[in-house]
Amino acid sequence: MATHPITLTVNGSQRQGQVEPRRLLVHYLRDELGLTGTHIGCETSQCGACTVILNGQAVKSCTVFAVQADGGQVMTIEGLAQDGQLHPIQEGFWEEHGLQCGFCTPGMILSTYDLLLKNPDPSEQEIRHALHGNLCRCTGYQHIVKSVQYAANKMKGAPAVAD
Amino acid sequence: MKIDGSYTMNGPREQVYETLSDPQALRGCLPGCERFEEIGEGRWETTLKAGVAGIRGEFTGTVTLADQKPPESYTLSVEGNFKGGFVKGVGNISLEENGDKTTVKYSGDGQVSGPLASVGQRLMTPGVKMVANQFFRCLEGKVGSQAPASAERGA
Amino acid sequence: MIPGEFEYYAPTSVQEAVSLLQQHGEDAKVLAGGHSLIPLLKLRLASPPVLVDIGRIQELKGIRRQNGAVTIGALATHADIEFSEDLRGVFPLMHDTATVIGDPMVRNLGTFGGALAHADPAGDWPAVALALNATMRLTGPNGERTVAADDFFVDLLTSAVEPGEVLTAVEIPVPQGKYGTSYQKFSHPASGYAVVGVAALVQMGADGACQDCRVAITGAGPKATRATATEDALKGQQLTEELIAQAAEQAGNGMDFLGDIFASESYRAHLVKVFTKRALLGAMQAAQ
Repeated sequence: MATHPITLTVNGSQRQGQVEPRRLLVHYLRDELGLTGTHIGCETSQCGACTVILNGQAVKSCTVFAVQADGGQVMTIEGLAQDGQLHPIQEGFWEEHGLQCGFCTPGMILSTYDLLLKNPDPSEQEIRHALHGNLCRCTGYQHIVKSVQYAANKMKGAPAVAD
Repeated sequence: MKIDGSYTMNGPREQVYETLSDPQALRGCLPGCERFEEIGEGRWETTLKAGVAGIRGEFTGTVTLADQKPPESYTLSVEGNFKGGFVKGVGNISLEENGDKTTVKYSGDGQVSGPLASVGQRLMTPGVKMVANQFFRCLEGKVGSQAPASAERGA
Repeated sequence: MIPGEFEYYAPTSVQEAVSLLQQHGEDAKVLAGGHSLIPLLKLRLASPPVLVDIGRIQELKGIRRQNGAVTIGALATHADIEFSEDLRGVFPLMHDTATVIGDPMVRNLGTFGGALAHADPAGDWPAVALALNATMRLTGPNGERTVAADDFFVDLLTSAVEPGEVLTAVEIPVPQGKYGTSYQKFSHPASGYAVVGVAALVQMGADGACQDCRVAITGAGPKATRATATEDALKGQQLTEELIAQAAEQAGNGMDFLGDIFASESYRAHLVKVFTKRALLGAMQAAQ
C-alpha cells in the first residue's frame, strides 16, 4: 500500500515521515516519534486517554489519521512543560492530587488546556462538562476538578501565561 | 436481540406463501446474494454481501426453512459468520389473509457476537428491520409473477 | 485497532472531490471529521477501498448569515456551532444542541455535514435540521441540487446524498417576527446519543397566536421524523401549557419505535411525548 509523506510540527519541532493512510495519529506519535505520554485506552473514541492538541484544539488522536493532521501543529503532554518548569495545569494536578494511577492524566491535562484557552475562568460545572470526554477509572474526579481550578487561578494570576 | 415486524403485500396468501418459500425468489431477494446452494432438504448455504450504509460485510452461513405449514407459516433459521462476528437467529414467519392482501408477520430471536454486537448494538434492531423490509418488498414484486417453483429448479 | 488498507485522497476543491468519487464509484467513501467513520473503520465494520478526505476543502468551512438565512458549511464542526455567537443569537437551539453532542474532543472534529449525511437514527442534528426547515446543498457529477430536510433523511443511516455527491452546505431560513426554538434530549448515559431528542420551532403571529410550528423527533425510530399531528394541533392557536401538553400527546403517532436493552418501544413512545412537550414549552417561552 502506498505511503504518504507528512510533515507535522510536534511540540515545536518539525517532524517528517512516511505513513500509510490508515496510520492513526496516536500510533504515529507513540511508535514513530516515541512520544508515549499519549496513552491508548479504549481505542473506541470514548476514554480520552489519547487526547492531544491539534491546531489549537483537543482531539482524540485515536480517531484521527496521521495524514489528516499533515501540515498541522501537534502538542502532546511532553510539550507542555517549558525548560523543566511544569505548566500551571501540570502543577495543579501535582498540588491537588489530580492523579492516582496517572493513565488518564495526559488526556485530562490536555483537555483542561483546551478548556482554559476557551474559558479562562470556568465554573465547576463548566469544568465537569469540559472533561466529559475523559474517563478516570480511579474515579478521582473531585481532585481533578480541584486541579483544574488551581490551574485556572494560577494562570489568571500569572500575567506571563495569560492571553 | 428480539425482532418483530410485519409487512403487508399484495396477493392472496397461497401465492405469497409460494413465493416466500421459493428458493429462486429467496435467492433473488436476499440482499447482495452471491451464492445460494441447496445442501439438504430446505437448507441452503449462502454468501451475502450486504449492509446498511457504509457498514458492509460478507456473510457466509446457512439458511434453513423448517416446520412448513402452507400457506400459514414456517420457521426460518440463519446461522453463520461475517467479518464483525457470528450470528445465529430463528424466526417464525406467519401469513394472515388481509382482504386481497396478505400480512406477513415475523418474530424472531437472534444472537450476534463480535464487535458489531458490542458497538453496533443500538443500530442492529433497526438495521435488521430495514433489511427485512427491503427483502419483503423485493419478494412482493415476485408474487404471482413467476413460474411455479418446481419449473425453475435446476435453471 | 488498525483499519483495513485503503487508498487516500485529499482533494482541495469540491469539483476534485466529486470527480474522485465518480472515478471510484461504490468503492469510495467520503471522510469529513471522521467521528462516525473512523470508529467503524477501526472495528473493520466498514472497509471502503478508497477514502476521499474532504477535510481540506476550504469552501466547505464556515458559518455565514446573509439574505435572511444562515448558511452552515458542511465542514463546520459541532464546536464551531457551539461557539458561534452569531448563530446562537439567531437560533439558541443550535448552541444548546451542540453542547450535548459527544464530548469536547468529538465536537472539535466531528462535523455538522458529516452528521447529517451519516443520518444516524440517534443523531441530534437531523431533528434540528427538520425543525428549522433546513435545505441541504449537494454537488455531484451533474452539478448542484438542493434537498429539503423533509426529504433528506431516507432511512436508517441513509440520507439523500447519492454516491458521487458531496453535501456542501446547509441553509437555514431565519423566521420573520417572533419565534423561539428549543432542543430537549434524553441522553444515553454512556454513549451520549439521544434515546429520544425533540427539536421545536414556534413562530408567533402578530395576533399572538402560533403562526407556524415545526417539531422533529430523533432517537425514537429508524430516522428523524416530524411530529406533524402535533404541529397541526397548534397552528393558528393561542398557545397555552395545557394546549401544548394535549398536542404533545399526538407526537410519535404512527411511528415505528425502536426498542432495545436500554429503552423499550413503549418507553420511547412515552419519552417522545414528554420531550415534545418540553421542547414546545421551551420554544414558546423563547418566542415571547
